[in-house]
Amino acid sequence: MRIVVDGEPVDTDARTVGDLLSGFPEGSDALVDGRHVPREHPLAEGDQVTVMSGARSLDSATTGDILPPRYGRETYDRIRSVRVGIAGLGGIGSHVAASLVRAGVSDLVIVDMDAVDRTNLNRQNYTYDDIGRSKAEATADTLLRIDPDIRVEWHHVRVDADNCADLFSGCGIVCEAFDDPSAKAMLVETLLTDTDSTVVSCSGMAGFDSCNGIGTVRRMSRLYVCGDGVSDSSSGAGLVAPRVMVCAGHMAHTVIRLAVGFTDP
Amino acid sequence: MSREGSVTVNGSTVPIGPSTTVGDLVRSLGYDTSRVAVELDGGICPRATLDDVVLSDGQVLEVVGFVGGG
Repeated sequence: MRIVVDGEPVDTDARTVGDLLSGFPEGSDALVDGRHVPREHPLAEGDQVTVMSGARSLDSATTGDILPPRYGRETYDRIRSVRVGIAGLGGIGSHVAASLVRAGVSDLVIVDMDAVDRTNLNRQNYTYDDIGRSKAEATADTLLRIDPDIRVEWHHVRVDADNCADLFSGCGIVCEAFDDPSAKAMLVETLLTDTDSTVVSCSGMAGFDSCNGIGTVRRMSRLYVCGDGVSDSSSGAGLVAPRVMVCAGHMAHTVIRLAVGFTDP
Repeated sequence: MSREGSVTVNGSTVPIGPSTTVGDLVRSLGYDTSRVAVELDGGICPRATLDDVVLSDGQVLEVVGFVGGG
């Protein structure tokens, strides 16, 4: 059987991961196609095995060890090379950011003018110890704790029509994650006029309506909008964490799909 | 200048009267002009100019209205 071990083709009689690891130092682990598997896991023709041993322990595995075997090298490289901006780091932006980094995005510009307060914790990706901190800095720290190998540029500043093209310079995709609808309109209009960025925006994710009403639509050649389009945060129950996270998930997945090359919503 | 006819808004045909501006049309459809992104024949029509741009027969618009929350 021929498998690939640490990038090199190997002919082996090993039937399981444990058999293969018997030739490596005690305590070695293996990732098969990017997944951590037990020693009794059967090997199959074509498996891509990454052996983690010694100084290169399983816990020191990088995103580059884990995602390429899952996604394929070309897909991984596309996700890894896109620069993504996030405008607003509230319930939407803080969750979009974390999802993007988990999915492999490694170059981000994140911007928010606010500090974390107690009223944010019911839905935003912050904790008690973040209270009083700049949302941009707190989110940057969270992202680097998820993946220390990423590059994240954070700005504690209000985004306006004059600074947004500069702030998000070089971003192939920008996520609009503001709360205020006029600010949403400002950002979308400015980015679509002054930059080449594709914009992933959000509108309508408040209240207790079913999450099944939240979707993604393509509205202009470079504008995708996620949400239900109608539920306003200023009326009724306001923003409820799971529904906000569904909308954030739509946005983050749209970014990933765009990075990979899909253009349909 | 007086013009009339119809335009296409978000895929639907909408009649316009003489001298109808983009702002007139967007408001008549129920949108708050401070909370929209408007594309006119493939290019963004900035909110600051919505009341200055007079529509012509056959033009195509995409109007995206935003509600609060994020």
